[in-house]
Amino acid sequence: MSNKKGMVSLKGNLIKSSEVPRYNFFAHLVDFDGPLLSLFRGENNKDALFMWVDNDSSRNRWCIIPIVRSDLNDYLSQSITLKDLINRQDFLIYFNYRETIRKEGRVLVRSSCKEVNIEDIPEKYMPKENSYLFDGICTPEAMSLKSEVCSNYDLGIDKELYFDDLAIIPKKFIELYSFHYALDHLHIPAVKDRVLELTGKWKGGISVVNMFSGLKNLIPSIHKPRVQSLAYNSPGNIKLNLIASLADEIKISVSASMSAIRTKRMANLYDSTYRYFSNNGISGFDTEGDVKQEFLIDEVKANLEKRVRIFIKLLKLDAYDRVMQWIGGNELQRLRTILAYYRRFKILSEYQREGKLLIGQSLLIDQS
Amino acid sequence: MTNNLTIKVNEVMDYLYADELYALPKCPPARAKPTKMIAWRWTFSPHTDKCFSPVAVLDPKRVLTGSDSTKCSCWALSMFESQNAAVARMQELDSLIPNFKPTKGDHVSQVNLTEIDGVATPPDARGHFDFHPCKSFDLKSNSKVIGPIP
Repeated sequence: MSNKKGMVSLKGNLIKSSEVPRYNFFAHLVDFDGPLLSLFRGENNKDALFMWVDNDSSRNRWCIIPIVRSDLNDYLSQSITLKDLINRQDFLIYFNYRETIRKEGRVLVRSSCKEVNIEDIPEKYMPKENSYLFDGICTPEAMSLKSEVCSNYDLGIDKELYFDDLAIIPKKFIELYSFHYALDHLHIPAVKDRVLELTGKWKGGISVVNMFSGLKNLIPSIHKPRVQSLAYNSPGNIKLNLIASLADEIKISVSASMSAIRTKRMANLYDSTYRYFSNNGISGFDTEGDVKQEFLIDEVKANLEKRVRIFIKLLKLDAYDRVMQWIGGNELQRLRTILAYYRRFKILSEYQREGKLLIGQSLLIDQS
Repeated sequence: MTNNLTIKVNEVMDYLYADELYALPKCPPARAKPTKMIAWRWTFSPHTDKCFSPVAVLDPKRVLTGSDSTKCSCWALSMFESQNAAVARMQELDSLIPNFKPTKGDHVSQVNLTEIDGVATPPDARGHFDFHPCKSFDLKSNSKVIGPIP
């Protein structure tokens, strides 16, 4: 039925390729001489597994299994099987993929997209009863996903808060979380490629807005901070489900900034950096859009590098010092990134200093 | 010391697909060494030409991203250090993707490797390794089908 004779005939409704939801590759979970099962990030926090099912002499056939966060967690922890995941759907989308060479290089062409009802899935396309994600078939990326289990994490909130504040706190928090996530997950090729793609644009001038929004979009839903509960009657609490170790890194930095001396040192360094930019004709101190590329003499480079190092120490980002060097860019670009981080960090730090926010701890008296 | 040895190995070995290997960075990897062993590989019975072709030369390529088909390992032959490792791996994959075994190979074959036949990476924790053969190595005549994968 397969290979020379062609692929299994599928009973279902043909759909246009444009009707297939958009997904971005995140990681291969099972691979042998090529991917067999891969995790893709979707829009609106709806991710999917792409499972290989068949081929003929010119095309491979894949199926898309939409997956919600709790199901993916259960599948990664071997609580449920791939067959269970499929049986929770009403239908699956199958499509054929063919690699072809065009002017722009190798491209993958998708065709014959078809919606197939679960009861019409051919037996040879259906995983077996024991289709668990055994460690023995996992890629290193799958093992990494298995080991990083999200847990609940509190953001205590208190005092007089405006509606704006309830937008600003989550926005700044997720921007910092995304930054930490990216630098902590450079072992995943899709994360590394995205970070390098973003930092690669540094050649033509950095856009740190793109840097931070681009990083936010690379987190699969399984690792995004998800609201577990939200209560506010001064005091209150936002209970999130996330990778606690990353949130703790933000907590440590913000907690350290509660020291008046450290806060003053950071503010002074920020102000002096502004003056240094101004005195040396360097643009884009607080501009987060594109700025022109500048030629830096060695003395200026050394000064900027020194400022990067001090900021990293003050922000307690020491663990990322080497990573920051690795992701490239010159001293000015690294400093702009740290300044952009600091501007976001400072907002959360001010909330915490005013007693309106406490990262890592609920302010609700009754925890039951 | 290791680097010097690597250079010597690559100077001596006349690899099959040498042009393609050397076009890739660190390919074959420095950890790949000549080895004498009985290796195991999934094949069909009887053997076909495709049984001993690396995925880089087979069509269609099973890829989802542009970089999936440009890895050094795509030019190597996947092998196992024991029959048990080869069978166990296929059985786990078969439970997940039942159509994989009929496409990839439903039998296990024994392959006799000697130091002059090519270089092999150290087996991973699951007994799998990559083997980069030399032009002179006749895989078919040095292999025999042992039996079907249950």
